[in-house]
Amino acid sequence: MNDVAAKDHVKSPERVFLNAMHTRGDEPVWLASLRDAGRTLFAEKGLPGRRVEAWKYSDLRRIVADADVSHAATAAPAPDIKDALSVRIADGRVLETPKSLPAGLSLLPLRDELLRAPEVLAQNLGRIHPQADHAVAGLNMALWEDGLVVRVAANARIEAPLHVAFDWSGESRHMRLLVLLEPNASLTLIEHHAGEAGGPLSSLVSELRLAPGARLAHLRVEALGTGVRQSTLMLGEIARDASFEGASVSRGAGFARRETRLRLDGSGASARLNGVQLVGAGRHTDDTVVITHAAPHCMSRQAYRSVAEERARGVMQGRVEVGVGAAGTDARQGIKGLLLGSRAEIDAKPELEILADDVVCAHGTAIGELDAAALFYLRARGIPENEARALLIEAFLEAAFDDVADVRLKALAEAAVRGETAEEPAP
Amino acid sequence: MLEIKDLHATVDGREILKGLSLSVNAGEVHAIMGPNGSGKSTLSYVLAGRDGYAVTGGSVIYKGEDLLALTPEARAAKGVFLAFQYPVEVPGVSTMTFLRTALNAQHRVRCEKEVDAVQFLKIVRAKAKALNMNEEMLRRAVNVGFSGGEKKRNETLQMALLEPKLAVLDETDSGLDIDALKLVAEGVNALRAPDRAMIVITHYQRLLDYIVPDRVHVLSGGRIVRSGGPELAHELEKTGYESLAGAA
Repeated sequence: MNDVAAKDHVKSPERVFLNAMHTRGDEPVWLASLRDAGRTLFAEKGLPGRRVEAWKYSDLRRIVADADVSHAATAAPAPDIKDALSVRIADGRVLETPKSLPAGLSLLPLRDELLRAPEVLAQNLGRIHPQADHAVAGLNMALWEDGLVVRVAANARIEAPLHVAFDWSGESRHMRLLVLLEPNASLTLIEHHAGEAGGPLSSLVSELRLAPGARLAHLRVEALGTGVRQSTLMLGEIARDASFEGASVSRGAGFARRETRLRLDGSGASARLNGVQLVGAGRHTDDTVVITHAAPHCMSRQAYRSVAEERARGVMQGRVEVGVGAAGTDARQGIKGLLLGSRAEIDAKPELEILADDVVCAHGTAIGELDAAALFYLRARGIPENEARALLIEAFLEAAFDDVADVRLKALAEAAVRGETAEEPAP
Repeated sequence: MLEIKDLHATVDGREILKGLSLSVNAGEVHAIMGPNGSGKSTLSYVLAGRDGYAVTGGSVIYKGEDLLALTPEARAAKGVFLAFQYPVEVPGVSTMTFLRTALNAQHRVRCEKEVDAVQFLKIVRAKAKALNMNEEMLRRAVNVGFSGGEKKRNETLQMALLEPKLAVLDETDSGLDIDALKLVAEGVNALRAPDRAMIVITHYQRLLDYIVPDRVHVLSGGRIVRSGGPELAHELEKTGYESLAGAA
C-alpha cells in the first residue's frame, strides 16, 4: 500500500470492500438482489466498531484500519481423523472434495450448486435466521466468492466426519457454508482454519438448517497467524427435537471472531456450545453467542473458557433470549477466564433476556489467575514450572468440554487444546 | 545430610523463624514438636521453597549444597519431599497423570530412564494397594473430593513413589482417624532406610507412637528450644509446651 492509499484506508477502511462490490452478470436475479441488499447494508452500517454494543470489545473497524500487521504464525496441527471426508478451501475456491461420498450425503462447491440446483439455494441462502442489520453478514453476502453446500438426506446418519480445511493466507476472502440436515439426519462437521498473512479482513458466513430430529456435531479448530483478520458468523435454525453440539478451540489471530446465532424453533430442540480460547501474546479472539429460545421446552448450554497471555485479548459474550412462548426453557451459560499477565485482557459478558414464565436460566462468570498453591504443589513434586503451568492451563481449558456428549467430538476438542492431532485421548 | 544454621525467615514481613538450627543425618528420623504458631509449617515451606517465605538470614545445606538457591522442582529432583499439611486440590489433572509427570520429571533431571505408561501402572498399583487406595481414586483429579484421610494417604503414596532422600512430613497426622493413622505410619516406616532422613512435624505425641523418632526437638518462638530422645515427646505430653517455653 502506498502512503496516499494507506491514509485513505485509515480514514475509510470500508472503501476497499465497497470497491470490490460490483454486479456479476452471470448470477440469477434472486442472488443479484441479495448481493445488492448486502452491499446496501454494509454501505450503511460500515465496519462495526466499539460504538456498536455487540462489538464494544472487538473494534473491527479500528483493527481493519490498522495497516500495521505483524506476522507470527500459529502451530496447531489439523485434527487427524480416520476415514474423514476431506474438503480443502483456499484462495477463495474449493480446491478438493472427496472422490466418493456415503449414501445420503451431498457435497458441492456453492458455485456448482448454483448451476445444478439453484432452487435449493434460492430457498435457503441468506434466508436462515436472517440478519438484516449485521454489517459482516452484508459484507459477506455482497462479496462471497465460493463455499460449500452440504446436504444430508432424511434419516441418513453419516459416520465419517466431514473435514473442511480452510486456508486464509493471501488476499481477503469471503466464503460461505450452507448445511442442510433433513429430518433425523446426522453429521459431524469439522472445520480447521489455518493461514498466515491475510488481507485486511476475511469473512465466513455459515448457515445451518436442522430439520426435526436432525443432529449436527461441530468442531472448529483455529490455527491462524497474527497476519489474519477474520470475522465469522454462524446462523442456525434448529427444529423440534434436533440438536446442535459445538466445540471450538481458538488460539487467536490479528482478529478472530466466531459469532454464533442459533434459534431453537421447535420443542425439544437443543444447542450446546463449548469453546476454548488460548490467546497468545498480542492476539485477539472473540466468541459471541446469541441463542434464541423461540419454542417451549428447549435446552441450551454455553461453556466457554479463555486463557489470555500478556497483551492478549479474549472476548466472550453469551446472550440467551427467551421468547414469550418459550415456557420450560432450560438455559445455562458459564464463562471462565485466566489472565496470565498484568496486561492481558478478558472481556466476559453474559446476558439474559427472558420474556417467558416458568424457565430455568443460569449464568456465571469468573475471571482469575493461575492457582499459585496448585502451581507450587506440582513444582514441589519435581514438575518444572513451565510444565506445571501448561498442565494447569490445559486442565482449566479442557473443563470447557466436560459436558460434551459426543465422545469423538470431545476427544478431538481436547486433543486440539493440547495441540495434538490424536483422535484418541491420551491414556 | 541436612544442616540448618541460624535460619531466619519472614512471612508478609513478620519474622517467624528466629535463628533455627538443626542437623539431621542420613538414616535418622527427627520429630519437631511445638505449639501452634511456633513456625513448624514455615520451616517446612522454607525447605520446600514456597514463594512468599523469605529467608532473611542463616543457611540450609543439603548434601553439601545450598538448598535455598534451588527452585522447588530442583529440590524435589534432588530428593527433598514435603508431605503437605493441607494437600492442594488440582481440578482437571488426574492423580495418575500427576504422579507419572512428577516421577518422569525427576527421572529426567537425574538422567534416569523415563517410565512408560504400562510400567508406571504396575508400580503405582502395588504402592497404592499397600496404602489401601483403589484405582478409582487414582483416576480422580488430584485430591479433588478426597476426604482428609484420603489426601494424607495420597501424600504418602507420592512419597513411596518418588522415594525421596529427605522427607518432611508436615502434620501428617492431622485429620486422621486411628486406622488411617496406622496405615500412613506403616507407609512411612516402610520407607525408613539408612540413606534416607525424615523430619516429622507434629503438634501431638500420638503420631510418634507409630513413627518412633531418633531425636525429638521442641520448636517455640521460631527456634529449637530443646532437643532429646523419644522420651522427650512423652514428657511433653504430660507437661505441655508452656513449661518448656518457660524453661527456654
